[in-house]
Amino acid sequence: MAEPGADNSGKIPETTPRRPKFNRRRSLWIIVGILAGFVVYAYAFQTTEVSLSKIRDETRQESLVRVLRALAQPDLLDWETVNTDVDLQYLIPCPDAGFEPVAIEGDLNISVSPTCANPRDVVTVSGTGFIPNEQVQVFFVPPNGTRLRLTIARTDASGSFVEDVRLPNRPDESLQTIQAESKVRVGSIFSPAYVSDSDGHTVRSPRWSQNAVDTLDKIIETVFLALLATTAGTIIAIPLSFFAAKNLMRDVRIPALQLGLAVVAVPIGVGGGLLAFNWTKDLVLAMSDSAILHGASTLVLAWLTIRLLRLAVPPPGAQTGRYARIGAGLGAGLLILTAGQTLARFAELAGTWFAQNLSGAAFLGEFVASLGDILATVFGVLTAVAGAGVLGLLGSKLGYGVAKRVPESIRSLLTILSMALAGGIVAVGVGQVVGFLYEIAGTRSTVTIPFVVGAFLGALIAWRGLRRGYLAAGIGVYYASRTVFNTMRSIEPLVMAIVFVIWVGLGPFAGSLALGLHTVAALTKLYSEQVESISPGPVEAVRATGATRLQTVVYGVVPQIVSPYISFTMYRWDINVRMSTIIGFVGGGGIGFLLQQNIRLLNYRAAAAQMLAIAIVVASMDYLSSRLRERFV
Amino acid sequence: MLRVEHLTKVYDDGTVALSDVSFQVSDGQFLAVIGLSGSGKSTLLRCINRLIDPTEGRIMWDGEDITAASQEDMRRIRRRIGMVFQHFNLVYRSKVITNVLAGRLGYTSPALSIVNRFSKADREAAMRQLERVGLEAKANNRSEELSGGQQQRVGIARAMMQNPNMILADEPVASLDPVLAHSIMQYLESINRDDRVTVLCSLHFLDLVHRYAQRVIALNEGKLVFEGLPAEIDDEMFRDIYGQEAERVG
Repeated sequence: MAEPGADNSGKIPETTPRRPKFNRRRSLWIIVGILAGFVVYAYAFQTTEVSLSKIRDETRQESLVRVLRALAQPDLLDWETVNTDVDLQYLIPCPDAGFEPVAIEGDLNISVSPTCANPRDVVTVSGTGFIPNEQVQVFFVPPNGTRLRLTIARTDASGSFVEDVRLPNRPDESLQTIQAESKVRVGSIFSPAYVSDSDGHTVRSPRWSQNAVDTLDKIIETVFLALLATTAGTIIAIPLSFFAAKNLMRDVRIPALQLGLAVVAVPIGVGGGLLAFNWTKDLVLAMSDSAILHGASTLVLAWLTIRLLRLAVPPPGAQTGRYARIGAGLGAGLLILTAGQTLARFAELAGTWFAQNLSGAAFLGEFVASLGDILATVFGVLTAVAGAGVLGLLGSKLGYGVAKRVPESIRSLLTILSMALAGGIVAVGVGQVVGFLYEIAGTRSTVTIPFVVGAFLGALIAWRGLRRGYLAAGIGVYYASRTVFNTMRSIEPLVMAIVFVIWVGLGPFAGSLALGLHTVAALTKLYSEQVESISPGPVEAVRATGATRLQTVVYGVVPQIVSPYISFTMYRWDINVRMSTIIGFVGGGGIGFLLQQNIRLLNYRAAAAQMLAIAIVVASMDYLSSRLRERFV
Repeated sequence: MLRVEHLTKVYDDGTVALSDVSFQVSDGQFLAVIGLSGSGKSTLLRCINRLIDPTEGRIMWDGEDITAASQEDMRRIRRRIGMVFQHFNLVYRSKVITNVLAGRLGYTSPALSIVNRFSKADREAAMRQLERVGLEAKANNRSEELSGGQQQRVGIARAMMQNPNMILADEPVASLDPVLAHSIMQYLESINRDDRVTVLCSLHFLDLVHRYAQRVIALNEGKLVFEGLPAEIDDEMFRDIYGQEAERVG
């Protein structure tokens, strides 16, 4: 049979396939590889205690079945019950023709074997259709109506019982009765009944059980915990991701002198920023505690800030003096600071007022007040960062100016000096952290030695920078941020949650902090890899128009990453919902707390309700996020 | 006047992309740059607006040393040099009008452009440039919805938004079919003739060189092997540029 497309002309192929040469060495390696694999898996079996006999063991199988059945019946509903009888005809003694009782109708059913017997005989009573794990009283009722209790049986998990009883000495020619009495549920899911309970209240049967109510409460907590963690994590991860993207950082090269002066200027900037922050904070706190006053001053300050910003950043071509611009910029900075403070204070005051006066929506007022508090804190950090940024930029500009004006030998000397100082400052910073962690007293090992070592390293780097003309500062930032985020990402949120539980106590706040921190690390990695995979052409084109680095990012990079960022954020929310279901295992709030408690108490039916809730939430999250992704991406 | 003097570029991996290239372009000239793929045409054009930093040599333009310019100076220089790319290099997810306005970034204050604020004059100018290339109806479409020829026209509109004195066109028609190629080249020709913009354009096809270029330089393995008029490229010259086994197709 010719293969399709094969050459049918009968030509012999020029080279017949030769049998591959037997390679002794290769075969030996294959055998060694297989043997090594054998040993590895044998050891793996031993350490993980793989045991098929345990799987087959009958008592263990019974436990498994018990748990599985419990899990299949989640504890969601509570039923009201009433006592109900079920009667079966019986004859003592047995007539010659034997006896067949009238069949019982309904869900409850009992039977006695044999169907008739002599007095004092032992017979077997069995019943089905009762409530699982419930008492059943079995009576003998002679024609006069007295009830003689034969036994109290207990139903198994499927609602059946089997019990041997001795019949009383009550021969009679007429029909007698064997009666079983037990509780039965009132109402059904589709047609619930309303009955009076012991306190006289009318209650619905079936109704949601306490476990179902608790589960709902905790699953809502879980979803919002995940939402907060994702939001906070995303906000922080987006700016950080640019620093962890190689293609953006690779080109950031700074002459060593500029870098050195910038690093020296940064601590001064942080100090100055914090000083300005505290100063404006005191100023704002000194104002009277009136929400209206703070709101109004925020508006006025914002308006003034915009006016000053117009002066500081004039449209191209406008004739504004350099010093006027710098002054306007500084003024705008201070005004923004003050405006931020008054805004935060306004939110705090107004929120507290709302919380006190609107009892129904108190949580909204408290939220606004918390936002004000967060704003005030974040503003402090931002001010320090902004101060560092501005001073760093000034240092860099100073370096540029100096480098242009002085001869090369002096420039080299200045470069090495500034880099040595910069290295020393960074090393002292590290020394302070180490000294704090290990409680090292004395300045010799936390200040002097680090400074000397850092200065030496800084000078060494400067030497390298002198030869090449610049330092690849961007790639340094890239590796530093990558290392930090990879380390942070490798720590599971569960472990982080343990630390946060110690810090802020048991509850969902600790859980959301842990998840948020992990989200920052994970998203920074995912985001930055997105940035790295954008097409470089548009970025190059935007750069070629004379755009600044920031403009290039905004116009060339951002449009390319918006949709993958949305997609990753939603994926992360999905992960966070799943993670938050178990963060409660270590006290981090959410449904995990209930789940773990019920598993420990062997209350599997209650645990099953929580598992069901998790499954529903995760599945609907999955559906929702895939729909949203279709829409946005 | 653009003067390139002894320009050399050695990449970090040791590849010599340009070696000792010198030539001059007078203002308002249409200069074609020809040569095989990998002969250094793209590197040369990118050295002129410093998208690539040359290793050695000097580039003088209007009496200013481009190779020695600082970052701030470079921003000012770049905004007067438009660039058109082989693969158009539009931001495909942005609107056409945003892509055109991006040509204005060098003139816009960074703070305002970050929140997508361009002046009214800029927006009107962008619409005029789109009208010039016949795409005013597509202003609010996403760039990825456009065909190749339309995308290159947007690329030209973006370059023209810069009010350039010079346009660097890096194989602007290599990804387009011959009919579209002529239409794009005619836009460049009109910009060169009517707006008196110097054009440096790398090209693959000799017929396009003969049709549009006033002067030609040719690169082979990073070396300048020819500088002169398009008519001067005879068969022998052709083989010097493209190698002994090359055959003329255009």
